[in-house]
Amino acid sequence: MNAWSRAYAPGVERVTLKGEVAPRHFGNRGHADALAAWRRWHDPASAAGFNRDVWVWYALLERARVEILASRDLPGIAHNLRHPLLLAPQEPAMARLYLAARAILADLPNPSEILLQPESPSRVATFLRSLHAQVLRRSAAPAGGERTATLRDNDVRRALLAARDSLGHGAQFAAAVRPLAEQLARHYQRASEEPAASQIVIDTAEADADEATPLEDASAQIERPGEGDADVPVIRAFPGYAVFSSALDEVDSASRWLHPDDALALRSLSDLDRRRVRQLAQRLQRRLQAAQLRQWTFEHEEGRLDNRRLARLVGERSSRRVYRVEQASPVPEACVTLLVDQSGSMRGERQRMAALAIDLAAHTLEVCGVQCEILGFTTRYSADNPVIKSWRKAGSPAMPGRLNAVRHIIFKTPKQPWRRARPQLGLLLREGFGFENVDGEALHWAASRLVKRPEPRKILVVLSDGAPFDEATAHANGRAFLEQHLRDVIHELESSPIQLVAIGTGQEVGRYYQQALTVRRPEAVAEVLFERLGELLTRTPDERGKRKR
Amino acid sequence: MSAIAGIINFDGRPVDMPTLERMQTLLTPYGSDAQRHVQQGSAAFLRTLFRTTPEDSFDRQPLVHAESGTTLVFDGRIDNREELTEALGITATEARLMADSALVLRAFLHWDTKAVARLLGDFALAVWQARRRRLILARDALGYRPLFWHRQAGWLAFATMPKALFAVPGVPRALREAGVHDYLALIPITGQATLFEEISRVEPGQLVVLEEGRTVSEYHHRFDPTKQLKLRSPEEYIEALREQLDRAVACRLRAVGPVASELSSGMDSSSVTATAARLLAAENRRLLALTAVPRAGFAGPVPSGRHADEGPGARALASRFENIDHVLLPSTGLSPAEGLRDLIEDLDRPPLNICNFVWVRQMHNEAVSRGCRVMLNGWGGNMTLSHDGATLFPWLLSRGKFLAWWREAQAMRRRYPKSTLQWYLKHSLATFVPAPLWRAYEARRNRGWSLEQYSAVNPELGQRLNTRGRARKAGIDLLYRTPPNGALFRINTIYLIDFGEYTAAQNASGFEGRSPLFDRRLTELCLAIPDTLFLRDGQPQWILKQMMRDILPPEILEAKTRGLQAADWFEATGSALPAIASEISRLAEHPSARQYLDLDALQAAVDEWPTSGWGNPTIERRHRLKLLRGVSVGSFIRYMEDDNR
Repeated sequence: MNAWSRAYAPGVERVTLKGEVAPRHFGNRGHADALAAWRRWHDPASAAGFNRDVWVWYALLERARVEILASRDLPGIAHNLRHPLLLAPQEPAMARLYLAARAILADLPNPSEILLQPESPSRVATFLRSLHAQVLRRSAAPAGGERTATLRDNDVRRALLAARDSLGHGAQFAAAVRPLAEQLARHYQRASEEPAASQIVIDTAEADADEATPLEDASAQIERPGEGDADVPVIRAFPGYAVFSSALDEVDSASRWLHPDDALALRSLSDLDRRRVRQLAQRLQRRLQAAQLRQWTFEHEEGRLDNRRLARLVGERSSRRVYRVEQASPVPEACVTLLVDQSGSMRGERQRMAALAIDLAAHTLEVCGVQCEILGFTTRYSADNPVIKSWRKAGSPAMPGRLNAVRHIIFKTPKQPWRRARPQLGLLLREGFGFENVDGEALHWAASRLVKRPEPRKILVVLSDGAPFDEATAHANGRAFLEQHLRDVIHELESSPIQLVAIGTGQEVGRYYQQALTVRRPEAVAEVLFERLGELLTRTPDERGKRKR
Repeated sequence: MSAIAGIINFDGRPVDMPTLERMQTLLTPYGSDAQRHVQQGSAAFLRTLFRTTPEDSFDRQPLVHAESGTTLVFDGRIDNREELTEALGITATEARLMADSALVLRAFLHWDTKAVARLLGDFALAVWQARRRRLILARDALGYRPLFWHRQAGWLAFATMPKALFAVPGVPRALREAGVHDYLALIPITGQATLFEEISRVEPGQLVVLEEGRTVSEYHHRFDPTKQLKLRSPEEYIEALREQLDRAVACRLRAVGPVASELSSGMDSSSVTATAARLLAAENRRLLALTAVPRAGFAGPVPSGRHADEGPGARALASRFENIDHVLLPSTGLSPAEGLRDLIEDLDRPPLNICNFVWVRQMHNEAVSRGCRVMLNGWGGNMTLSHDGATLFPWLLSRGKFLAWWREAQAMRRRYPKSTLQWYLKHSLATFVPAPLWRAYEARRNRGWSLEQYSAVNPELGQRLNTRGRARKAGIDLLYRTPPNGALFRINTIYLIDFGEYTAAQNASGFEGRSPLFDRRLTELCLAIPDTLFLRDGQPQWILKQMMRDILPPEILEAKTRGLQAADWFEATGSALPAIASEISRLAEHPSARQYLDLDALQAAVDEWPTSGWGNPTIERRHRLKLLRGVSVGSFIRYMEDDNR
């Protein structure tokens, strides 16, 4: 989205919603049209008088309203907004309400459950938490404070059905949903005082410390590029996914785990026959350099007419900068993330060939001026897994979510020169360092890092050998749990500006990724990697768009 | 050939196209030349094409006939193009520019579901009639091309290979316990079941119609065991057989580029190769014949009645045809465990004889490297052309034709002097003795087949699922006795063999295997020829040998022993024992492998690896059949339920 904005709308203020009401993290056409709809149909004056806690619920319902209005008359926008699930906020409670509002206001079948209720924790945990909540309430609530009626799904349904008649009038709609927004604020305030067991363990507690201040101008807040780019916890981005405990998760530079012995392993990489791989790297380099010779620049007042910008001539603030010019191109502005599976099944020759390919790819990309980040992922534990012990101690609740600690390794950041980062590659070659692979989280983590990069082209290449698997997690949640999460993350990414490609040493990757390449021989990893990188880096945006569709 | 797939939402929802694209990605190796998909409302289809016929260059599948709302995806080759074009009123000029798929679509538009029975050749297809909201899935009479499907409320997905179905969210990827058990016990899977939970197959010769929430399965073709061909003389039978064999081979020579042939010194591949060479010579085309042989200097041992080196016989045949380029491929000593995972990925099932694959792979690689896209083979010959007529003995007894039985047995004894009359009597009577009695009799004499000798199935699983009961239900005699009804026995065997995944996997290796002996018309003829012509004057395969008398060399026609594929299997396997042992250790740690496999017995087979006695059937059963099949199935289990070990 950032790339799109910079390329096609420079200088225009980026209007966006407050973070928690906004669509999920990754930008796509739906996201852009949701913002456009908000800008066109939302009247900030209607929001006058809502305090901060109530406003977010109103804004969520207002989002549903404006998106339905936009979809009515504009087929293109309707097409882009057709999947509410992709546009739902990250917060599970908000996501549910948004989906329900989109359905009810559009007179479509709506979900049976709208409100999020606190989960049933274990008996001991319930007792301790209720004790804690009682103490809190006694100290916070005034004596004899009134108890509010419990909000139910049918109440929400009724209120939204009543508000449906005011869809075309922002102020009337605001008045109609105000009581509901207030009830929702109270409902979830209470719920937050009684957190569920899983939330206690896993949540990173991003409590919003804002005081309840009037937000007459909340919708007009401008988010500048670079703001609000904090990593989104995966469980928030994907409400169906859960992590029993993230306390033992690790995200760090490879230097943290590096031993002197790893340098020896890295030296052994030089013993391999590198001629073929070096040839491939040189071919990639030539291909990239050839692509750098010419490029189009936009926003000119003369040159060749750019039909994609013709609409500017008739807009509110008409602009004559609708021409493009072909000129010598600097290096392709791109950032490539190579994400490597370091699980046990990648051991041996696969690991060595992946390391060799990465070594030369990083060097080649650097020579060509393409930013490159190298990340690895695995889990911390195999047999002696403390997360399982905690889970058992907690009474082995059903469907606990991920039951291992993930280990995310940063081998090289985009800013690091390869000569400095290269020694860390030795860790990739260490036998027995990795155990299992939770691909969905790793992908989400890598994408979260990549999306922050300023380069307009973002390419994420996953080197993996199969399906996500963690024995403890699979045992407690079923094998499909991690697979489904991986599918969800990929689905999200494939509709984002990130170019996602998987290179697998088996056909497994094809089950999950739209762009998947299978290599049969470990030595073919480099061949496929360089070929694919060449394609991705030299393809024009139009070609990429076609490919994605 | 092509790989095909599709998703149909019967409830009218649009198809999730990224899912279809993932299916296409997975099926691309099976059709690397062209890939295309279309969306038709709430249905979407894809085809990946591997071009093997000249007409494939006109293939534009998936084909959509807008007027009738019909969409077709077709995987296969039609052998009766002329007959169909004539019946459909298509001119020869028009037909020349039509891919087989276009012809099939025209046939469907004309005859609807009745078109399937009129199609001859190797095929699988799916037709979606949007207006009737009706889906038709079908496979050819012999099931040469595969087709699988999965159905849930409101939608259905089908695909050439199960792997494409597993890319659809909501389709479980789980092994079917009974399926794996049966596979290990060599009980063929019957009906629509597969090795996977909730994945069905279209059976050979079957038509599955899904309409208005109902699924109706019927057979568009079944072989008839009662059909008998009555001709005046053996010569007329031979002439009829020659005509059908020529036709079966000829229609399999429609190919782009050069044609190759697997040539062992057996009657099947030799007959196919000789016929193909003769037919190609008339068109001034050449044939590449490939024969896998043991390494130089290999001297056995091999089981009695077998010979290790098929080179001399094959060479003698090749020397009779000027247009045969014959290549002998000595064994490279590659381990059977090498590349097993890739093979499983291509097949979506465990290969049954991994030793043979080492040899066969060599031939395939050679053919592909020489630019051949079509390779003939002799698959299925035992059930058709080269039936040995052994069923004649019990049949004669069952009909009370004792004198004829006596004459035939005496003739056999003259040809095979080491055989005894008692042996023929025993094998003629065995099928009439109750199975438990026969088993006890054989056990007492320390003979016969017992499951634990050759199968790695976990005995507990076998007991729980009742292996013998399941075999009985599937119509399989685990004592492998010779039944009296030759035609029925062969028909049952044909239906129990499902080559589907094997033929699809060949496309992923860069060629198309074609089996003239698995031709519908030839099969029908062979089943209608009386057993008395397959075994005559003590000569097994009498009719075939008469037919090929002046064509095949004496090294093949008069051979008293049969060639053994991968005869040097124990050398390559012996050198791969550490790899096999480590695979067994990984299986031992796997959460479910032990449930299916007798891992202790497999480990013991490795630990007690013999240094001699390879000609002994007991040793072969334990170390070749049991161990290697066990490892193959174990690797398949790990492929399906992968972990990080």
